[in-house]
Amino acid sequence: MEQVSRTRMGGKSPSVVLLCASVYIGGMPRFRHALVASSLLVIARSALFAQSDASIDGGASHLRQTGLPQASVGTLGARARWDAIRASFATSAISAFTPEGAYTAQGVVAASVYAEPLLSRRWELGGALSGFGGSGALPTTSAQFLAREHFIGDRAGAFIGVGGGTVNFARIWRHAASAQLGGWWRLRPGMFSIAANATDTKSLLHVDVPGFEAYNETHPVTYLDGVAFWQSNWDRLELQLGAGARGGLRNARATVWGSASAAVWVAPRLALVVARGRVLEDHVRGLPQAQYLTAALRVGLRDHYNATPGAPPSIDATLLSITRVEDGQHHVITVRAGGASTVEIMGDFTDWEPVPLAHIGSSWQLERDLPQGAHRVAVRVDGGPWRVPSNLPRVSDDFGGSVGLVSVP
Amino acid sequence: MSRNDDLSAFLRRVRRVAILAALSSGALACTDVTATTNGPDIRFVVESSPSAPASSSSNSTANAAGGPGVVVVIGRIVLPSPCYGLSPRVQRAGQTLEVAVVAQSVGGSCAGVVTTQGYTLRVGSLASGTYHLRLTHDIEGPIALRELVLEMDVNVE
Repeated sequence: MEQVSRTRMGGKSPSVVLLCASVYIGGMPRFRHALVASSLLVIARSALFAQSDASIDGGASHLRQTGLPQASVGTLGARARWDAIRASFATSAISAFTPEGAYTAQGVVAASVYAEPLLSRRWELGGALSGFGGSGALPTTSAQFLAREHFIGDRAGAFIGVGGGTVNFARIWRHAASAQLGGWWRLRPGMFSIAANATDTKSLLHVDVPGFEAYNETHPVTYLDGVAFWQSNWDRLELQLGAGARGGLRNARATVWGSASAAVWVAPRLALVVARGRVLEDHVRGLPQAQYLTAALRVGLRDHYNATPGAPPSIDATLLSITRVEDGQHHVITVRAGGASTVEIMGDFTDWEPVPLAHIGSSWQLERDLPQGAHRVAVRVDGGPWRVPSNLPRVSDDFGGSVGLVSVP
Repeated sequence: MSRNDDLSAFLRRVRRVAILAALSSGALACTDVTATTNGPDIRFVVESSPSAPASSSSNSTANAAGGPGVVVVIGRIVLPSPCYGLSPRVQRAGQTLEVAVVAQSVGGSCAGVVTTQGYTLRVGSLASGTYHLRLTHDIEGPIALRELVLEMDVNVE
C-alpha cells in the first residue's frame, strides 16, 4: 500500500518530487475490478509509449485498515510516470479486496512543471487530484497544489515548499495547507532523503445513524511529520527503507511509523516484491492508518536490468564517449550506464532538447553529425536528474548549473 | 408633505421593521444550540425549534451508532409543551452506557401544545469495543415521566 500513500522523497528523482492525487473507482464489484485492471493497463501502456517507467502489481496482503475488516486481502495496483525536460506526470492506483466483495481503492494522478534544467536552483509548480474509497463508505476526494524551490547539487540537494487545497467527504469541504523542508544525499550505495512537513487541516468525524441524517463533526488538526528514506537500486534488487514520526500540534496524536520493501527482478520485466510497514492517517488525502505485509508479482513494462553480460554494475557511473564513424561525417555518442532503463542526452548540439539514446548491446548510442571542437553536454538516466558524465570535465553553464565538456575529433 | 404622506411613511417603516424582525427570528430558529457538559467527553446539540408531532400518536424515537472512539445518539423527544429545556446525563460503567435526555420545565406561560424536540448526543473518548447502551427520556415536573427509548449494543471502532 505504501506506493500510493507516500510522496516520492526517496525515489529515483529527488529533484522531481511529485504531488499525488487519487482516483476513486466505484461500481459493481466484478465490474469495478475489471475497470481497475483495464484502466491501469491503459495508464501503463500510455506511459510506455512516452518512454517512462510503468509497472503493475498483483498479490496478497495481510492488511489492517479502517473500512476493510478482513485481514487477508488480494491487491492489485499499478504505477506509471512520464518525465519531460520541464514537466512530469505520475499516476498510481491500488485496490485491496476480499473474496466477499469488500474493498478499498485509492489512486493518484499528479503533474508538475519545472524551471529550466541544469540550474542549481529550480522551481516546481504542481497540482493533483486524489481520492480514497471503500465498500459501504463514501469516497474522500482531494485537490491540492504545490509550489517548491529546489536547490540542486551534484550529490546532494534540498527543497522548500508550500502547498494547499481542499478535501471533500460527504459534501463537506475542508481546507488543507502544508509547508515542507527537505534534503537528499547520494550515498554509496543508494540515496538518503529527509523531510519535515507541517500540515494544517480539519479532521472529520462521520457517523451514519440509521433513520436519521448522518452525524458530522469537524475539528482543526495541525501536525508535524518528520520522514527519512533510504533507497538503493542494484542490478536486480531494489531496496527501500522508510521511517518517520508525527508530532501533534493540535488534535493529533504523536506516533511513529516504519516501512521496508524489496523487489527482486527475476527477469528483466518480472519482479518479486515483499513489503512490510505501517502508514499513518493522511488527513489531506483521506487515507486511513494501515499496517500491511504484502507479497506481490510486479510486471514492468520496461527492462529493469541489462541481461547482457559485462555491463557496468552501477548507473551512478555514466561514461560518455564520442567516436567518428568510418565515413568521417557522422559521430556515435556512446553512454555506458549499467542497469539503466532509459538514457537521454542534451547539449548544445541538440539545442538543449533531450534526445533518447538507443539501447545497443551493453551501451546506449546516438548517431549525429557533430562539428569538431568542444561541446557542452549532460545526460539523464531513468528520468532522474540531469548529470555530468563521470568521465568528463565539469564546467559551469549559463544558468548557474554544471555541464560536461566533451571534445569531438 | 401632508399628514397622509407622513402616515404612509410611518407605516412603511413599521412594515420594514416587522419584516426584518421576522427574518431575524427565522434565522435564529435555524441555529442549533450546543451544550457541552464537563466530565465525560460529551457534545449535546438540540434543535432550536420544537415542532408539533406528525400525529397525536407520535412516540419518542432514537437510534445510535458507533464511530471511531464515539457513540452517537440521535433522537426526538415528545414534550407536553414547548417550554422544556433538554440536557444530557451520561453514566459509564465498564462497557455499559446509561444515557438520559432530561427535559426540565423552563417556566413562563406556555400553550399546552404537545411538541417534539430533536437532539443529537455524542459521547467521545471511548476505547474500541462493544458498548451496551440504554437511553431514557426523562421528563421532570409535577408529573414525572421516564421512558426507555433505546437499548442496544454499539460497536466503537
